[in-house]
Amino acid sequence: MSDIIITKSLSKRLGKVQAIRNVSMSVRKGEFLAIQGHSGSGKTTLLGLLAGLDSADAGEILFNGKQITKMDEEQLALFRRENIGIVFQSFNLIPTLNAVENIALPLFPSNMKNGEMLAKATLAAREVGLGQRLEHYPNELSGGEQQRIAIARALINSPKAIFADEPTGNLDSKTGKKILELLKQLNKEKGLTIIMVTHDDKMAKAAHRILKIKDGVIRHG
Amino acid sequence: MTSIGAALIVIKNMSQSILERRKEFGIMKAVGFASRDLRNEVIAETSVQLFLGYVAGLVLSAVAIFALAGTTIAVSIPWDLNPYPHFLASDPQSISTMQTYPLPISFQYPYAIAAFLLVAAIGMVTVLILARYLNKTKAVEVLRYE
Repeated sequence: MSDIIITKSLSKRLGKVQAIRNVSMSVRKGEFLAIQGHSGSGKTTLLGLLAGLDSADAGEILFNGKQITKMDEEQLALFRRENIGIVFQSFNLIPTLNAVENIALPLFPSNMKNGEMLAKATLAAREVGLGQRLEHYPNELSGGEQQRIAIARALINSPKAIFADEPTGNLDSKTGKKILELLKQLNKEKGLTIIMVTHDDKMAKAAHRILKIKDGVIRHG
Repeated sequence: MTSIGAALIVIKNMSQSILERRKEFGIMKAVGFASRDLRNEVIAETSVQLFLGYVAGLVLSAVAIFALAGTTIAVSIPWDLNPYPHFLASDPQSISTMQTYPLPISFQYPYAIAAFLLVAAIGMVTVLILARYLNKTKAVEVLRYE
């Protein structure tokens, strides 16, 4: 299996803190990778760099053979739209859009017609087991349902990798387990690469491989 | 004036709404919206709201003008300006010292056009300021809201 992500000597400073120090790592295509660390260890900062949400101070990130560290803001936006899906701990849905519109959000900047966008979003919603509540607004949905919407939104552009930042952090254990199962299922059935950040041992164990991070340094690979 | 007032209220509300939606714009950037896409979104929203505000102001002005146009005002004429002063009349009581005039008010198209241009200019400046603000919003901020 080839590598989808390769980083070389990646560093990032946040204010006075050296959040990421000289990180060199790789992620294989179709791999389910957990990045585990305590609060403040640099795991979310690393995820932000790998997902092209933030830029590194030094080092390189190759995503599918493309150097993303030298991209400007506009190029990174296009890169994110075409290559990755992101799932956040607090779901980050737009409160004024209903479920199906939230799922279709990444398609809005494209030239796709409204009907086509909503049809695609409906399919993505069914894929995550949420075909019934498409007209509901985020405040009318449970945490688990909101996270399913967020996962469907991450899937809508047929990404090559999904980045999940503590995806079960705001859910009860039973719902969290279901969301984890959904991520595993997507990884297995669609061959999607999943990079999940977590502090939870049980969650991390569900992955193929665990990278432990402490003080911005990868301890185990 | 009403149109400009309405437009200024819309601009204030619009700016406030954009500033309050910083997180929303962060999410949009994170899922792949470029700054250009967000700017277009803001321009579209601002234009629609400004236009509606301007039209609402115009309608209010027209209604006010229509209501006031039929109004007359009574003005007391001093005897030295009256062409028929009371001391020349055989019956001074029959001379009226009051005269009524219609209120000089009408819809002025040049003002309506000037108000439109002013509203458009203010709107454009607002959009430019908001677009600069949106450019500064980083996608990574969305991870820090967690």
